[in-house]
Amino acid sequence: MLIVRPIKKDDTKTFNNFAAAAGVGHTNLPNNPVQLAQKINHSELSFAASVDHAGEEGYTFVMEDTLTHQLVGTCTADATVGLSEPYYTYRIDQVTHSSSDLAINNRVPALHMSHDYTGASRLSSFYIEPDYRCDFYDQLLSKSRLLFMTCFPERFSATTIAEIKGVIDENGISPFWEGVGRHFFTMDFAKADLLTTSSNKHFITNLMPRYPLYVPLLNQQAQDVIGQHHDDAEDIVNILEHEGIHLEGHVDIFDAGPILEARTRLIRTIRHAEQTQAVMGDEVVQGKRVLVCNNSCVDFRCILARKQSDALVLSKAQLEGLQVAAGNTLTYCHL
Amino acid sequence: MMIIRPLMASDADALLNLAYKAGVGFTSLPADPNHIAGKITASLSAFNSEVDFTTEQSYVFVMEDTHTNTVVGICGIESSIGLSSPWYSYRIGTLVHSSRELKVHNSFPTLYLSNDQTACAEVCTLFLDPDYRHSKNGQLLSKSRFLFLAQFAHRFEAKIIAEMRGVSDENGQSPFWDGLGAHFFDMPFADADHLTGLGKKEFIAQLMPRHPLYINLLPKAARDVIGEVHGNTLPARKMLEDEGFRYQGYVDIFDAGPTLETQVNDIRAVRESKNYLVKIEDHIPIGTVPYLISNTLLDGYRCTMVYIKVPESGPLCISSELASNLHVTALDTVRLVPLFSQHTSA
Repeated sequence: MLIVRPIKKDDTKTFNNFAAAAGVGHTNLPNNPVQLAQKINHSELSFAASVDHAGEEGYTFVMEDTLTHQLVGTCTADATVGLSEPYYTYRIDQVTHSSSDLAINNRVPALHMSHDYTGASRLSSFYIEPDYRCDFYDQLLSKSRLLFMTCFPERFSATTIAEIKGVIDENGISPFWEGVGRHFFTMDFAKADLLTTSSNKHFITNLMPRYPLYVPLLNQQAQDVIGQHHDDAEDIVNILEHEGIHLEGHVDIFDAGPILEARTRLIRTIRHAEQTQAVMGDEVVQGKRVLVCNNSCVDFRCILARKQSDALVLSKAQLEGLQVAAGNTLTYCHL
Repeated sequence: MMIIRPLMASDADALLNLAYKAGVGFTSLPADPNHIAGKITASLSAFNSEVDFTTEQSYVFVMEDTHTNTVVGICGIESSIGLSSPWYSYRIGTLVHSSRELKVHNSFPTLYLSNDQTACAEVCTLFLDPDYRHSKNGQLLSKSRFLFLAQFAHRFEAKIIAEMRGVSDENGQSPFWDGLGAHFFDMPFADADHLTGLGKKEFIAQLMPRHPLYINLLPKAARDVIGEVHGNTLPARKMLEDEGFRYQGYVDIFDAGPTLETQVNDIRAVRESKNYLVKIEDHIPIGTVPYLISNTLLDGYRCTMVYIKVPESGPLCISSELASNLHVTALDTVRLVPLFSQHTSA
């Protein structure tokens, strides 16, 4: 059985391996043990914190295979972005140039540096081991965050965004970076990517273009990847889009990867999630797949199960996995 | 003898012929009778008006071959630009992006759409019949305006500009246009250029990008021609630069050709020109240095070129033929300046 739970200090070693495997362009999963340790520590404090409104908490989850006791994936839900340091995106606006005298009406897309998502909650740092990218495990991992958000709405904002890795080739070359960022930063993408996580982000303010960039004036390779996600992100994009989290014209300032956006309460899982009392029985092997979590914050647990009747029947093992007893209140949602 | 004089109503047909010879590349003189009629009216009005800096006065001159009485060239001066419709150019500014902690310090040339040259005078509309492009006729035609400016400086704004044709290939393709303007409206450069000639530049400017543009993000072909002139315009650029005009980082919004600028009083031919009283003699020794010479009349302005000996002091001796062509008699005043700066060669 696979269980999603909050990350702990003991998970450090595997977590470091995930970051190494995720590679360049995964800004929020930097391959840097010091930062990863901070991320774990921050997460533990966040889960334990008493919170009445979204602050700077960051909740990092891991997925564990109970058969092998191995961690096989991780993901994060940040309460907010942009509060302690600026959060930048490019907003793609259509600039209309029209002249009735010349019978011309042109819409020209331009990239505007924006702080529009300041204060939004963020889904990020998604990584799953290749062997587990099947059997709905990626859905379990990704959506467990959404079920957590369902249980603790006060910990999150009205808007949720998801950063998706943009197009980067096997050599770590980002066409968008080569066409835009390199001119302004005069450094490699990998270094800039690292700097965004390791230093405060004010250097971005100092170095990035201050004026909007007209998309048709960029080189073709850079234009082609704006709003395009990396092949690795295909599954997660499908999952998030199915949840109603869409591209609304914002992209990452470094690799132009899409930034998906939704009203938090309208996200499919959050909107359709229901509460029920756990019923113990034999494990249901037929029926619709559901995502089930306990309603605990610091001891959050989430698993996949099946539901055949009105009652949510879970096996003893499943209840133990969720750290609940029969009769406890659970939150679930159909996949 | 080649004489420069103000454009007259009777020049309409001659001007149309000249416009046909100039062809489509010469946007400020379209072969259109209505346009030419308008130009004549505007010029006559300029020469006859009181000094007025609230409107644009367009002074147009023609070059006439006195042997054949044909008009073979045209040139103009605007008293002030950008008053009736906005005058656009790109200013090349500098943006510095710097981060001390990262030890990065980059400076970027950036194009800003500007109206900075509003209310400058302008030398414009220069065209010489190809058959007459010899014997320094081009220099005479262009620089004749400077003697007029020297004599009538009070009719012009103190700062003066000259737009230089930018780079385009033999098919009329402009690399700057293709890299920038073409993205903002689906129109070949030649069409946009044509509209400019018809005075519709403001319409096009409405379609141009309003935000500053980082030059290093433009295609190399476009970057390379910013501030560069068309090969055919190199001599004209050199001539103006020898006279004191300078490229100060302003370029045309369509082809990125440079705009040269200076103060009227700093133009070499304006600064060095002097007035002389006229003395008419039958036998005038021929000099070795070409001079521009003009009378001091406004609507009766005449200017030509002469190889003449200039006295240290006292009146200037000229032939009766020259006096007649300049419409001057003994004891009238003429203005004189060497055609070339003493420091530069022809």
